[in-house]
Amino acid sequence: MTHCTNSNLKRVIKEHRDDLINNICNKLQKMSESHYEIIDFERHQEREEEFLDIMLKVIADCDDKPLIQYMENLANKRSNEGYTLEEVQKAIRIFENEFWSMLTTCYPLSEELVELLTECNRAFAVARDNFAKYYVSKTLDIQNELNTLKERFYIYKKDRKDFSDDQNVY
Amino acid sequence: MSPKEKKTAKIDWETIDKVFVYGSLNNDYYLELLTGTKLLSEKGLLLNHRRVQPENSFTFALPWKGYSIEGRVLYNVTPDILEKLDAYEAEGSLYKRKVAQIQVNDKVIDSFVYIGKPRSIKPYINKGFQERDRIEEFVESNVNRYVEQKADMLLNYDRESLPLKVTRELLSEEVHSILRQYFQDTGIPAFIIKHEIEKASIPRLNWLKTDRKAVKYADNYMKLALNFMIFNQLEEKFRNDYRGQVNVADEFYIHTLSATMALKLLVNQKQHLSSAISHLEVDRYNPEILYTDYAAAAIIIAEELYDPVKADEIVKWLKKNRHIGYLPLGAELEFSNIGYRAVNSKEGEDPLYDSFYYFYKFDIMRRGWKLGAHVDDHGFLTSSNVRTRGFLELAFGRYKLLGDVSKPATQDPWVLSQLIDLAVRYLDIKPHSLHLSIQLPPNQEFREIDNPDFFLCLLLLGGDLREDSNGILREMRIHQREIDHEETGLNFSRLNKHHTVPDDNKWTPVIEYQFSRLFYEYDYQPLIMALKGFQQELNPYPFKSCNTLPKPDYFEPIEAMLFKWADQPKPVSAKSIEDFITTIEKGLDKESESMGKDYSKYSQRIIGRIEEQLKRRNRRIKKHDTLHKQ
Repeated sequence: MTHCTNSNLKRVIKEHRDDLINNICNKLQKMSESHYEIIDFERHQEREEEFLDIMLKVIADCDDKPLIQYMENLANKRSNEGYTLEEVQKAIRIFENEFWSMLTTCYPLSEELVELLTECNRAFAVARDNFAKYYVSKTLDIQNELNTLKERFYIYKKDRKDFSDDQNVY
Repeated sequence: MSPKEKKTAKIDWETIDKVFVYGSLNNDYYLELLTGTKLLSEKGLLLNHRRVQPENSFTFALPWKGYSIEGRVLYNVTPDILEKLDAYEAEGSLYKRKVAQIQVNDKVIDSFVYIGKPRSIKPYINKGFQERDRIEEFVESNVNRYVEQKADMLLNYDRESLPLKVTRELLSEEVHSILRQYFQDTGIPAFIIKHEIEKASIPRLNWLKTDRKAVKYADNYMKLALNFMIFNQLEEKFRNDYRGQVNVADEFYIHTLSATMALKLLVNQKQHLSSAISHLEVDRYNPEILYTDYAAAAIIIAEELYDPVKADEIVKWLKKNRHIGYLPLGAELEFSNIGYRAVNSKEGEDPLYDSFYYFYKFDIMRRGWKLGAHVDDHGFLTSSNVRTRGFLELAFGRYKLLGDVSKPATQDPWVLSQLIDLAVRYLDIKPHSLHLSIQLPPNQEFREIDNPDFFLCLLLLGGDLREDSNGILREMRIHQREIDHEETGLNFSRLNKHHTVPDDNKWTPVIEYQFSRLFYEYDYQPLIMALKGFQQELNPYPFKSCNTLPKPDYFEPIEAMLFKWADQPKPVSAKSIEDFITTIEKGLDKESESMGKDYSKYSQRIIGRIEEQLKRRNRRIKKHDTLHKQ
């Protein structure tokens, strides 16, 4: 990205950062039947601030490495916390829409804006794809680890005789 | 003693009816618990032995020339009593009973004495076993005899002791209730223990064949039952493996620390847990799988998840972060996927649990008893046989639901905050509200509050500020009338009476704050500490259940102000925030004086966070206010 695009992006974000984060957090809190709905506003703020900083760095430097690393950690964390893949993907979409909307409203209308929006599209796609990749891979790893457990329960079910329906147990 | 040893002994063992005691048996209460009788005794001195008292563990004696141990000689010890004492001392493995010389007054007499076997005792010392733990273990092993008999009748499977483990899991509430009663009544006759275990029912699922409506919700209920059983298994594992780390004073709930550890282990491996549950296909109701099979699956999964290295790390984590304060604390957590509509909800309104209408039918109360699980319909709890719709409530420390018999969960705000957060993360049911309780010091009079803004500060810390569907900022707990009762008004706080022992008339006054929202991934320490400071410095009149209000309509203007504010929050003045901080600081200082430097530092750190939270939230209101004026 050009130096000019970068400095304009920095300026726009600086001016509208609070509003952008507030809008994202308010929308996330309205994501019904999801983990996001039951998280306090300030916790959302902290999390979204962190994600915004990563996205800005990736867009400005055109280097995906920090984002890929971040998404790997996030996938481990969220999958372990019981978030579904769908709800995290939906949350990233909310972030992306708000980010896009802020840029189209506040960034000066120019060729640079088109370039910036294309780069944003790409970066968010990298975020979503990597999250999905690591989330699914972790799930598969865990399932493979659990095969002996299944075997143990299978043997138990096959061999046990249960008398819990007999009256003399009570 | 082996027959060979008996033959070689010069003394006639059969004629000795005296036992010298110096450790846990030197305690009349414990002795009566173990033998079921009071024995005649006299002070004495065990000659040529030395007492070994490891730190935080139990005493034992070792032969040591020239040393002596003070204790008592028990007289008229019958073979039956001796058999009980041998069983308690694990004669032959943990201790060895031998004949020794005891000096009583001017005479020297022969008496039995239990001498420790250091190599066998060492593992107990490492686990932090104390005298009381050994008594508990002994009583438990007596109860287990009857559980084993029941297990033999319940399940025929000869591997991994699964029948016993399954039966213990399904009867764990009854077993613990017998243990409590045993200590309370100084022993229970064996036939009563046998009867209690025999009559305890094993849950079944065959009733579902004739209840089509319940089948709709069976997947979720069985998953909930399974989650509680896995938790129970791990809680017991922590309790047994880390006795020295999980024990608390008798006036507190004994499962709090081990429950926190178990939940931490489970939450840290949540994906492993869910995968294991779905891998064994016990995440759903299957008519081919019996309730006992779900319990067996829970045991197998818990064993898979328990990793001693991870368990050690958790124990260290807990030890490192503890901050024990002065005031006893408790918490009640309400869960419902349909939020405040849970109470009086219509049939089927909650598509996952039907507002816990089938809670008792699926025997969930007995599964979740360690966390005080029950259904709260905001009415009076009369019997577990009465079906009702409401919230799933966890009441930490409440070990007997009928009669509201409970002990404080902890004195540690950090532990309480962790326990709340971990329970929310573990349960996978939408968290709704949190009631925090503080046990009051005796004979402290309630006072009027000069500045009602202090209640707004509390709401800023514990309430639920969020935009409604029209983008208007509200404090949802009061705005949605979640804590407003038609007849009694706003239930911001109330005075409760808690019994710690069933059938006891004694009670302790407890203030319960009911306004907090229960969030996911939230640190409750600032709120808990603010309430403590507030209570200790001002001891304000509770909004409900207090007969000594200065005037009957004392709370009317305060309630009106709170409703107005919740509908349209306005920034709280900087002066009120400052005064509030000063107030809670004074209150917490009183506690710090008796708790020491470390607690004082902790307290200061949290006060800083309270101030920061109040200012941040105030700024948010200010910003929203400005935007909406535009």
